[in-house]
Amino acid sequence: MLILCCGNADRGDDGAGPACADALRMLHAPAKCLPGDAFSLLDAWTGQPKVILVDAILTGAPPGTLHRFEIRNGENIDQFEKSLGSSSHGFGIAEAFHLGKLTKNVPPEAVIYGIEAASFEWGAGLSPEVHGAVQQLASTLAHEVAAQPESTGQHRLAMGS
Amino acid sequence: MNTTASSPGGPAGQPHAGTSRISVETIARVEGEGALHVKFKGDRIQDLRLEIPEPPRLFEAFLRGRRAEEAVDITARICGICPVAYQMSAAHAIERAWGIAIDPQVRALRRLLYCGEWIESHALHIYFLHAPDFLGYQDAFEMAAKYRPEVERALRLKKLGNTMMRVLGGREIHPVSVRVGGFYHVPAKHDLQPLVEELKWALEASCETARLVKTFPFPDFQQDYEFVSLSHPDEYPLNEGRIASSLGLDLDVAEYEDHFLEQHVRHSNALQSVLRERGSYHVGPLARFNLNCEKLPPLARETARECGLEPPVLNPFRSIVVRAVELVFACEESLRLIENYEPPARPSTPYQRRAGVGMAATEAPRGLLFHRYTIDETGLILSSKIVPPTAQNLKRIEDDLWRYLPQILDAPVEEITWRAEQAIRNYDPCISCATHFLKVRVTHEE
Repeated sequence: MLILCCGNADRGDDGAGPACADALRMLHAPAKCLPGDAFSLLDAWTGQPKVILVDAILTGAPPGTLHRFEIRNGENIDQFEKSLGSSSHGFGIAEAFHLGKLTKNVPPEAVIYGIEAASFEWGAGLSPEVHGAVQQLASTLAHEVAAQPESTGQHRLAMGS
Repeated sequence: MNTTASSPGGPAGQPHAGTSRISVETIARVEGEGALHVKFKGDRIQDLRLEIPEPPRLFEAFLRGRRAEEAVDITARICGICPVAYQMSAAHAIERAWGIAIDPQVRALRRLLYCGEWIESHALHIYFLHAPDFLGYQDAFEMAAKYRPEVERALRLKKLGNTMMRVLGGREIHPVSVRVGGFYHVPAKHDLQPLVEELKWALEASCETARLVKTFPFPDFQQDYEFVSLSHPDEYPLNEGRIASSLGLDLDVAEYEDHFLEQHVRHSNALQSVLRERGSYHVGPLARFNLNCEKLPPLARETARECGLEPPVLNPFRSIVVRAVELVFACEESLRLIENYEPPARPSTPYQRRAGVGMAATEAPRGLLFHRYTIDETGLILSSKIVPPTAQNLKRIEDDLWRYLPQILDAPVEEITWRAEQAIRNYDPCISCATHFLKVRVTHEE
């Protein structure tokens, strides 16, 4: 299971992904932080059977709301076309799935955790609601990783940091 | 693509019939955020403004008081697509201020790192940002349904560029290995060998790219540009050379500010550059090619010939073909550099800090990038100036649109909008660098 955290720590709540990666490391759960464009997602998930993605999201729900979506073979990604446009980069997770589908490179199993953002203000840091949601999600994911039978050192290496 | 079009003063599709207004709120496929407003009266443009509403990024201000060495890493943060360009111009400028001569192999490695950035940036722009305009698609995703092998080729090229950045720069985005005097760490010869096979593939893929884009339909539009780029006696310019122009400028980089002026215009938070008493000018692939094409290595030169590129290329829409030729160049040059590479005796040259002024210009993928640093005797930055290529092209883009849009005024509103965006993308503007994304509004009045 590969955990990929997306976002820009300098854009307010878009830093939810990087903050979650940091929190996971503190809990000894490996996660890869992808601060750049989402093209890197395509490389990161190549050959991975299961991927967990963490990013900020805008749906209109109260800030800090945690959304969970299961994506199998990229088939139901269309629901995110509009709602996942909150990355500070134009090319986000939804676009990576669309491009991955067209080029036959999507993980068979993916779970997207979207943390509802309040603001993407430059340099603002996380809002209290998003900070709380990040800690809660990291704790849940760390338990999930610990419960994985294949959670070995070798697997950590493969995932990098 | 977050684009809307409306024509409240006239029926949609007939912008010139009566008082009409076309409003396109967002231009996609550029780096950063901005807006274009065009006001037509009859068949004449009354007003045209390329607005850069994003706040200034103030890098020059917060470099003040920092150690000069930090400029290499701080300025790299200006751009996620071309951080190497900022590192190179900063490092070279400070090395000039302190009289540091870098090892020839360090110079070669920096050139190789820069080639990686060109490969990544050009592959992204050709396939994902610009090609959809010529092929009639809204975006690369729509294009990928019909052009899957080409999109896969683009992804693989971009990945190679990123890999080169990681191998040489320590990481793919905002590399960390470059320092004043050289590198913190240089690779062993065998570290570079794994790149060779992929670069050989990329060389052929770049030639295929050129064969694809040369067949695109190019609007009939030419301008009598003043092209400006670095020029080096022996090599296609990247990180060293004099500043040359198609109207005869031949300057040491230290003379840049005597001839080029940054001016503030009310509608833009990015400064616009002009040549003193001459006006707008053109930097980027077209300028580099027109001023230096004879220095391209053999395969790149042959590819240019096959594509029918003869200097001066004056049609800005053909910049996509020149970018493809530069992709060939970057791969060919990378292979040459790796073949000749021997690790330097030490990764960086020792130096003494001293008071001084250092200026340097290098060729970012989008064109000339100028840096100047004034440094005190303790090595702190007193002042700095950074002139990114997009700021130098902004006035030129406006001038192109003033001349191009009247040619297509009979077209439907949607097509005028489309063509305006395509013309802007000829310059691969990185509005993030110049300050940041683009919105377009076209107004028609009788």
